[in-house]
Amino acid sequence: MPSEDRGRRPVLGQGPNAGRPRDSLRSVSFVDERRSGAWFETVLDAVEHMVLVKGENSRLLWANRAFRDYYGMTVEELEGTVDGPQSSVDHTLQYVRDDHQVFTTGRTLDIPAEPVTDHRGRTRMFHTVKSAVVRDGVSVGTVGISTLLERMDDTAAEYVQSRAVNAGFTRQLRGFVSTLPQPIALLDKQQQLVSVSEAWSQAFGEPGADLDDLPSFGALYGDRLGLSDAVSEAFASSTSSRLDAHPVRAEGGPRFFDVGIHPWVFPSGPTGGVIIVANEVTSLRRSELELTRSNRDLERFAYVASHDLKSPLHGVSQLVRFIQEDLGALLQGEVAENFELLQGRVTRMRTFLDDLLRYSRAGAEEPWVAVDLRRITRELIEDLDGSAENIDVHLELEQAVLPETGLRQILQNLLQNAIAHGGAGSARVGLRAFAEPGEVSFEVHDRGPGIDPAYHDQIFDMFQTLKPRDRQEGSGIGLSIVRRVLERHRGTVRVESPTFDGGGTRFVVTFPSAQVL
Amino acid sequence: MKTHPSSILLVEDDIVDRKAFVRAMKALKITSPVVVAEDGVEALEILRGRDPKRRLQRPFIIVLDLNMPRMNGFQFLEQLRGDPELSNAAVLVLTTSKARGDIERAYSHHVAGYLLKEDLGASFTEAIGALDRYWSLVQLPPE
Repeated sequence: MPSEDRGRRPVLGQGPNAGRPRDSLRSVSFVDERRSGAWFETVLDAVEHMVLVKGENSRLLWANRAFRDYYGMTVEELEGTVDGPQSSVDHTLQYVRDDHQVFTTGRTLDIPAEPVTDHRGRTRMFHTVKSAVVRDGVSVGTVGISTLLERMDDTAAEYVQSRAVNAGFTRQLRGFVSTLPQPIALLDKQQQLVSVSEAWSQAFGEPGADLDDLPSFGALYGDRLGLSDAVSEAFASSTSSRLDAHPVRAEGGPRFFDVGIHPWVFPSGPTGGVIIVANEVTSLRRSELELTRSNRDLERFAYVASHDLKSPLHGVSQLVRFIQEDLGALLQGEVAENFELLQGRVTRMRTFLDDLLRYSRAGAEEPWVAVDLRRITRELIEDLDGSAENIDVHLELEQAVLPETGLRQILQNLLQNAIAHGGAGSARVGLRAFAEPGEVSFEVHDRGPGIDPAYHDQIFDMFQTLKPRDRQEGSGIGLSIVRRVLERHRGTVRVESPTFDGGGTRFVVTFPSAQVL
Repeated sequence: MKTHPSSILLVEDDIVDRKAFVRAMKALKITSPVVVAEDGVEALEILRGRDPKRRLQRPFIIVLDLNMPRMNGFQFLEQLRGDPELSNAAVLVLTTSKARGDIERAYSHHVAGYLLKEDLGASFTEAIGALDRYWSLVQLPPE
């Protein structure tokens, strides 16, 4: 029987008198011997409640006589184990979880009722209080005192029930999570890994540990994936958090995940832990980076084009002018005409370079704001020198939420085109704005010759024109700017030429927007 | 047929633009002496009197290009404004760059004006004429 060991072995022998000879017990009085290991042991063995001392990882270090009797084990047999052999695995897991919580938080845990099985396999309910043993501010172990519950009061009964329900719920959740097609990890309140989905293992590697042991999430994944801080914050704040395009190191370059960290609760109310949901966005992120880079390249190229290429062009233009000036009246006939053409080509080249720069800047990111359409159309028309009286404006709405700069660029280009291609002098150009549910559209139409439908796609390409430039100056950048702005803001453009032999052209630009009333 | 007491320091690396400047002056019969520097480094040497061959009479005005090798216009302006002897010099920028950033940056160095070469179209002379009117009207920093 365990009682044989009583007083023989100073397991708690870390006090100041630990090294004292054992036989001194007999010769020195109980009063004089106080504060030795053996003395404490004698005292604790006299307590009728169960006292047990555990070190790290729930390893038993010592238990008093009441505990040893209940478990039917000696101190030697108990030492280093986690629990008695009779206990059910579920109970043991719960003990370990509780020990871990006390050990890591340093806070005392009051368990109103928990089942403990004795050496004959009989399970009774105990009220247990577990506290951390702290040395130099660091947890070195736990000490628990369990009192037999003669009868379960309501609190204890409720507690037991909720724990049992929660255990069942956790099991269901674990099974459910493992089958989900997305990378998901389920953590309990102690930031231990309860379950991961198959997709999680594929994305971030197998856990490499038995999940029944409730391994620490931080050690297995959190630190490696750079998620530990975010998870701790989610626990501290009890609110969901989100990491967008979170980079994770991987072979062949970083992978990116949108990661959501959400607290979950048991149906009975208490917090269960957090669930981490990852969503791979690597290809999206890569194409975003790619787009940013190519936009930057284009911007840089356009800057170079507008400065470094324009500079020699400017020189050519100057030199031609010097020659023209110096030759003066000597310059006649075909030579004079060719010099004029030369200057014209230089001007055209300069326009190309300016337009290239405009194109590279079109469709920059900008906030959508409530735009006063009356004001913006008035300003646009004022800027089209001398054409105001030829434009009929018909606004079916006054305000809409739109990217203002982008809208200006689009309307300016469409109106300029309409005026340039609208046919003979008095031809009128129409500008109409109208709203449909979830959409705001602008229509620009002219009464010119129209555009053959065969070319309706081609006209939006860069530097595409349908007439020789000697007959109609223009770089052909306008509609590509329109298209670029709309691509950026998820708008659309369509072109209609009912009869392309004189019925005019109609451009309709549509933004996913709402009218402001 | 005005006479101008001020001399001009033309800081310009492009020979065609230098020619254009001189032609325009000739056309307008402006007789101010012009001293040429091909970049900011040369311009500073002249301004600090370290070039034995090229001397600049006060009062003077600096006509500055922005894109130049070795020391560009902005680097030159920083040096100029940081030098107590030269910090009050009148500077007019004459450049092909109409980038908004360049214009703002130039004015942050307290330039007296910013002129675009290409805006002048066929008659570069117009701009020089404008310069001429400008410096015959304003009081330049005295000696």
